[in-house]
Amino acid sequence: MGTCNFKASTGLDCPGCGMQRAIAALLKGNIWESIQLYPGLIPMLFTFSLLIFHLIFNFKDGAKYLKFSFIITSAIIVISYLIKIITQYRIQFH
Amino acid sequence: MDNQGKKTQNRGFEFSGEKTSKPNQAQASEQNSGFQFETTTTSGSSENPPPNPEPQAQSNQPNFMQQKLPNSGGILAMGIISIVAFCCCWGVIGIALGIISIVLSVKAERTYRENPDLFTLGSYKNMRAGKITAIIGLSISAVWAISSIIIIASGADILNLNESIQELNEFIQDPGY
Repeated sequence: MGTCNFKASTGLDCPGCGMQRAIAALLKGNIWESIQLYPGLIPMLFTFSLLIFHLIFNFKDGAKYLKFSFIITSAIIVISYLIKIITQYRIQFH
Repeated sequence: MDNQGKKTQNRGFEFSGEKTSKPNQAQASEQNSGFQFETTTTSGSSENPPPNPEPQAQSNQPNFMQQKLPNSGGILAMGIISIVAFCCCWGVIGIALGIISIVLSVKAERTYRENPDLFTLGSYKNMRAGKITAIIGLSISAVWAISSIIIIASGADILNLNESIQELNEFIQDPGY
């Protein structure tokens, strides 16, 4: 697996850390494990597949749905990252 | 006029040509050319248009003469990829994709405003969605880049907390004087 530059230099997780492990878990079929490792992966894959199908087939309201799924995905990524950072800090302090 | 009609007929019936029956094709093309070129004198095309063979197919695709906006799909794709790209490489790729997408969408919106009839509504919606997603992705990556710079600048104090506490303990136990 590729190492994270940010984590190597600071010791903190970056917002993308855990994505490779989540992909590996998803490829093995462990959906719950991949959600625990990186909750934004599955909405992200959904958004990408929606984007590709929308660009090919031109759905009628595809742009609207893409917008909504993008906003949900980015919110999940940001919130899960904040939660991860806060729990890491707690572990460090105790 | 005839040449233009033939051209539009060829362009238009790339998409819906096989559905319409052949004897009505000339009438349909004439009617379409009447809709398309409003500045030309409407001779015989607007008065009593012949009954359409498939009115639903025609009404479902009223814009098949129109083009897509330039780069509308690319704007949408770059706006959406910017959220993934902000995760890696310190947010630089997310910032770059967001800026490119916003610049292209501003250009495309200007061309759409100049003559909105030329372009399809779907590509305009794609462009708007791409602009919104690019703005969100750009703002998130910018926040991430700034915060990572702050973290690295103050990294010695915040992040190596355990090590600094260890050093402090060692210093207390064995001050060396």
